[in-house]
Amino acid sequence: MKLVINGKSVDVNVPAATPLLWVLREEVGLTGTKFGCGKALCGACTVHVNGAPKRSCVTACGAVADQPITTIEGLANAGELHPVQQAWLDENVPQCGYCQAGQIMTAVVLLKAKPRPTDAEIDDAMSANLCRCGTYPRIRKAVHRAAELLATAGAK
Amino acid sequence: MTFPRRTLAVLVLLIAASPVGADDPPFTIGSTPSWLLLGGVTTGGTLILADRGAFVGGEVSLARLRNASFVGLYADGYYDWGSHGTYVTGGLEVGHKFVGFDGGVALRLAGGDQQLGAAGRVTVGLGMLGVYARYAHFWDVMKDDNVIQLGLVLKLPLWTSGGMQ
Repeated sequence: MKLVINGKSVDVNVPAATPLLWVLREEVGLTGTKFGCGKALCGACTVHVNGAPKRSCVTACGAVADQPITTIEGLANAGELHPVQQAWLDENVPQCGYCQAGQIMTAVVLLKAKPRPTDAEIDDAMSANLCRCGTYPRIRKAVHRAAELLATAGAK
Repeated sequence: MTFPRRTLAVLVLLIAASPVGADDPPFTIGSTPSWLLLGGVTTGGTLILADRGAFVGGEVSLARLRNASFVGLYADGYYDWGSHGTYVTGGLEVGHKFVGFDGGVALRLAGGDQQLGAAGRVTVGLGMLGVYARYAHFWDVMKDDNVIQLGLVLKLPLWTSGGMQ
């Protein structure tokens, strides 16, 4: 089976019903995507498939063959952090950090859909990702910061 | 003629304020309806029984996920060092978000005897681990037994139909 992960074509030899999460972590070695609850409830395993957020723990790898998959490792471009990643650093968002890959992946999609989200829109979109450290206020600040960075980058 | 104009104005305002399309979420996330097979390990302790002790075993479940809810079947088996026996339980499970309930039949194999019973359990998910409390009742010729156990369960997704439909 061929998967297109972070712009690279990867051949994997696994059953089609294997959760994408395990293929990414165990077969391809991309361990930035985390196992959280295993039931699509916490968002730690969020990746992008065709630009849309997907919970990789309940996504069969056979269902996303030949579709572009982006993981947290694929956000940075030529060594330059994605504006959302930069904003996360600027605002010191992570505490334990475990959920943050999923948080960032969700925030990227939110900002594509809503380049200037309100607090309510951020809360609504990001509430699908749980953080047991309670970094939600910093996540909200970082999403606003990322929106500014993306707007600045777009203006150049 | 004032009434129809007012009615029209109210209708226009209602249509303008209609949420359809206006406040659609920017995207949706979560599980599309799918089947999920989970398997893992379980451990804990038997608190109320003449022979108290620790237990270790395994558990599998096949659940249908839809948004934040799940319903399915589960089975687990574990060896209990208190009763020097093996417990096997299985039945239905339902849950919403991080709280799940399951229950069904229970079988205890200890000292060459087999006891049939019923078991029910509530599980709260704490990230990777689930913490649970289980009550089981075993019928016996001489004396019924009540068992209360507290435990932890770690289950991993092993197979999914997600996105295949």
